Formats: sequence, C-alpha cells, structure tokens
Amino acid sequence: MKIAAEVRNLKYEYWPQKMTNPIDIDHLSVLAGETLVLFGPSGAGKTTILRLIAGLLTAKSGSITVGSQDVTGVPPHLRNIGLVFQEPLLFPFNSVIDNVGFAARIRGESRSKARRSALEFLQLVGLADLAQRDVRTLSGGQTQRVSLARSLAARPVVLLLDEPFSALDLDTRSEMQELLIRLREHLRLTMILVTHDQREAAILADCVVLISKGKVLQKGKFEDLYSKPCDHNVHRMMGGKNEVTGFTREGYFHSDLGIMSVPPGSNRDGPAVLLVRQESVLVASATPLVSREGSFLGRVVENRLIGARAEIVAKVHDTFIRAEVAQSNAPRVGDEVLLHIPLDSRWTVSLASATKAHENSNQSYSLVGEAI
Amino acid sequence: MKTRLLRESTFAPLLGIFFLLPLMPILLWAFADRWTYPGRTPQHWGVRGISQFFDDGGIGSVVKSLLISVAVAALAVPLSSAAASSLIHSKSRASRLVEAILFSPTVIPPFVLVMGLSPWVIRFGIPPTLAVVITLVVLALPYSTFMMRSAYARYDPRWEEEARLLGATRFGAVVRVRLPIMTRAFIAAAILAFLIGWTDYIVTLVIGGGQVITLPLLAASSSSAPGNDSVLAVMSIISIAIPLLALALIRRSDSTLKNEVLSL
Repeated sequence: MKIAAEVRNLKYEYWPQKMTNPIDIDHLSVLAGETLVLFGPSGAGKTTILRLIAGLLTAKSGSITVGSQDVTGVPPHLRNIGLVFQEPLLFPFNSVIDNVGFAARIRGESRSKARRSALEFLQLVGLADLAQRDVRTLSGGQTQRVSLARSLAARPVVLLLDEPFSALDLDTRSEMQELLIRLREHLRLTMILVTHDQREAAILADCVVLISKGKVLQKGKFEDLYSKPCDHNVHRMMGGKNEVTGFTREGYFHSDLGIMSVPPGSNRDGPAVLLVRQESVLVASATPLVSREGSFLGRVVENRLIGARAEIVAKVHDTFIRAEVAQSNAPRVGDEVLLHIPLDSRWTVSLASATKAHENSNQSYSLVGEAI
Repeated sequence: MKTRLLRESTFAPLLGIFFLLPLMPILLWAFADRWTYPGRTPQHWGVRGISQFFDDGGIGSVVKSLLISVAVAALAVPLSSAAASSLIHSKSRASRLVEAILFSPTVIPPFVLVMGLSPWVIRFGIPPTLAVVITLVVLALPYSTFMMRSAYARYDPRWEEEARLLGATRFGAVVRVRLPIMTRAFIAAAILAFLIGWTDYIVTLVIGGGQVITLPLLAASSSSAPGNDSVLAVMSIISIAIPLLALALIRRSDSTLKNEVLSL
C-alpha cells in the first residue's frame, strides 16, 4: 500500500530547552487509508509531533513527506493536511454551514457553491439539519462533528486528530469513534490520531506508536504493544501492573513464583522481568487444588472495585500479583486463592531494559517484592 | 420584567438630565449674541459665535484635529494590536520589558514626555504635525494596548492556525479570522486613540510649536480673551459632536463592516 505521510529523523527542541524533552523521531509513516495512533502519557510530545507534521512548528532537522511531496519547510496552507484540535475552534462569526464551507471559500468558490459542498459534509457527520445554526448554540459533540466536517471539506491527504474526543462524555465519545470508523471507510481517510485513551487506540488504530519523552518507545499493532511490550515502561504505559523479577534459562522463567515456561520470542537467557497483565491472571478458589504449570497459591490482601469488575491483590510468597475478576466472583480479603498465568499471557523482558526503563520513568511504580 | 422597565424608564431620563444639564448653557451661548448676568436666557439671540468661528479659522482647526486624530487612531490600532498579541501570547521574558516601556507613558506626566521630546523634534527637523502625531501615538498606545490586551486574552491563536490548515495564507487568516473576531476591540481601541488625539492640548502646543492649530488650541486661545463665550460654545459643541457622530456611525456600520469583512 502507498505511504500517505512519512517522517524521517525529525528533531525539535523546545524553548527554553530544559523544560521539556526534545522531539527525536527516527521514522514514522502511515499508509493511505490507515490510522496511525500516537499513544503515550501527557507531555510525551504527541501534540508537538502533529504540529510539526502540520507545519505549525518548524523542525530543527528532518524531513516530512505528505503523499509524494516533501513538505518540509512548506507553509501549512500548502501542505494539504487537516487538523482537528481537542477544542473544536469553530469560527464564532460563522454559521455551521459557513464554518464547513470555509476551505471552499478560501479556494475561491462562490458562497452558494461552498455551501452546497459544505452541506454534503454536514450530511456525512449527520448534522445537515443544523446547517444554519449559530455555532455557539451547539453541544460539545455537535461542535466536534462540525469541526470534523470542516477539516474533511478541505479534502486533506492526511487528517490529524489531536485528542478530539477527550472533552466529550463517554457516550458521545463512543458515537464519535463510530462516526470516525464509518468516515474512514467511506472516504478512505488516512489519519494520525493522538490519544491517551487505550480503548480509543484499540478501536481505531491500524498501527500504534508509543511515544515517551519525545521518542518512539515501540510501534506496531495494538495487540503487540498490549501483550508483547518491548520493555517495562511500555508495559506500564499500556496499563500493565504485574512485574516479577527473576531470570530466564532455556525457555523457563525462574522467580519467587516458581518455574514456568515462557513463549518463544520472550527474552533470551539472563536476568529478566516477567510482565503479566492483570486481566490475564486467572483466579480460582484454592479448593480443590489443581497443580498446573504457571499456577500458584496466594492470599488475597486487597479487593478494590473498579466499575463492574474488581481488582484483587494476592500475596504469593513475597510477591504481590494483581488480577481483575468479575465483581460477583471476586474473593474476599484473607481468602486463599489459586492464581494461574496462561502461557500466552507470559512475557519477559531483560532486567537491564527494565531497570533502565524504571530509572527513566517519571512515575514511581512499586517493583515486585516491595510494599504495594 | 415590569420592575426592570420601571427602573429603566426612571433612570434613563435622570441619566439624560445628568449629562445634558451642563450642556444646556453651552447650547444657549452658541446662539446668543448677548447674555449678561442676571438674565436666565440670552437677551439677544444670533449667530455671532458661528460667524466668528469661521472668521477665526475654526474649520481649518477642525480639519487639522480630525486628520491628527484619525492618523493617531490608524497608527495606534495596528501597533497596539501587535503589542497586545505579543504580550498575551509571548512566553519571552523580554515581553515584561516591552510591557514596562509600553505602559511608561501612563506613569510619566505628558508634559514631562513632551518637554523631553521637544528639543529632539526641533534639532532633527521633524515636521511639527508628524511629530505631534507620533507623540500622541506614544501616549495613546498604553490605553489602546490595555483595551486590546483584554480582547486578546479571549482570543485563541489556534483559530488562525485552523484557518491556515484550511488553506488560508498567514495574511488571509488575519483578515478572515482575526479581524471579524476582534472587530469590536479594534473599534474600541480606535475610538480611544482618536479621543486622545482629538482632546489633546499640551502635546500639540509644545511639540507643534504653535504651527499646528487644532480645535483645543483655538478654543484655549479664544478663552483667554473676554467676550468670546459664543464662539467658545460653538467650539465646545463641535468638540462633543464629532466624537458622538463617529460613535453613532461606527455603531450603525458595525454589522455592515463585519459582513463586508466576511465576504472578502
């Protein structure tokens, strides 16, 4: 498939430099018709990358290609890129239809022609009946739809979306995500979306790039980042909570939990950290005891409700393991439970990368064996 | 609703009387050929004041005042817009220094500024009218910038970024987005700068060196001689009427102007 946008050796320094980590991206690309999601914590540099691609910031070095054109140094109005900001930023002096017809008017089309074409895009986002409305009377979801329609009406090669739904309530956010999926299919849209909502990334992404401190930590399919993180930090950023220190030898991981096999592709022999997602840990009553590889007995020391589910913390020897279970099946504090980590949910990374990641991390996480 | 109407119907005439009462004698004087104490109204009505106004070169002074005031407004608005925008959106430490310099005329009495500038104007041979305009712009800038700054605080520069991504050039984004959103602030700043130029006396007197005769200068000169009450009243009415007329015209054309800008 054809590459719609590509970034190479992109470097950007903030001013004053000490305040934020500089942007340093070796390579990023998005294929035509696909969605690239830039995912990462606040302050990672995701929005800056979007602004650099859009031409609203000037990179210190590197190149940006849109379609087949090198747009490095090209002003934003000639880049053929759309950007939907977190806030809709509708022009308050224009009606809904004139907001959407703005790009057509800039192109020199007559008001009536611009309005006709704007109406088509308003129909796409389901707001044709609000065409004449004053934009200040719209709801949050409606304004974001108009903003989306306005950007689409400029017919960009690549549409950039900077956390466009983060200010919306959950229901409206879901509606907008579905709308975006429909539009993507209908218009064969190429998108680069910035988000720190995992669910959104999982729903919309063809490829996810995890950004931290201005650098790419890992890129690939969402499932890979989720279940096969390249290091400790990626695991944490993807919401993983279980880390068990030990070592791997000949395909087996040795730790406080015992010995268990690890799938191929995991870390090579040496000091390692086992990364396990809390929702992958199976929890059963301790009786009847069924001894299986990757199973161990623990005692529940904490039980916390998280919506419809419960998160339990079980102590196994000196190690704390977190698991997410259905609220109705959640064991109580003090219960003895049997924990099982399925083979395909085990993933190890080298201890060196984990330690490095830990040192680099802004957040303080408790390593296994320390008090939770 | 009824209470509000009652309040408005009571206060509006009171407010009108408050402003109009001091103007009534001026209005009467403008059409009085003779009005001596203790007469409550003029003894002789006439247009002596008006004809004297024409004879004394009143029209020339009004035109001069208008030209200077319009020039001050025309220069102060873009300058204060740029200053306010950078003061609000710049993260540079230098912006504090700029702010201090910009607002210094508000703490330095105008005559000090004027006395300090006057020798330079003479030594560099700057045309008096130009020197007056420049000095008045410097004096108007703090006020117009202050007014623009509050408007810029509510103005999101990303509106222009969005316009640029929709195909507008940098200048196009300013014309199509900033101008319509900031129209009222621009008008308010322009009126303020105009009024500073229109009412100025000290700058024109000292910097103009007696060569720039504006309406306030002519009025001051007339007030120093006895028997000029009628012509002074005419000048006072003109000095009030012009800004009021400008305000009314701007108010009326506000929406038209906005529509014209949008259709660019």
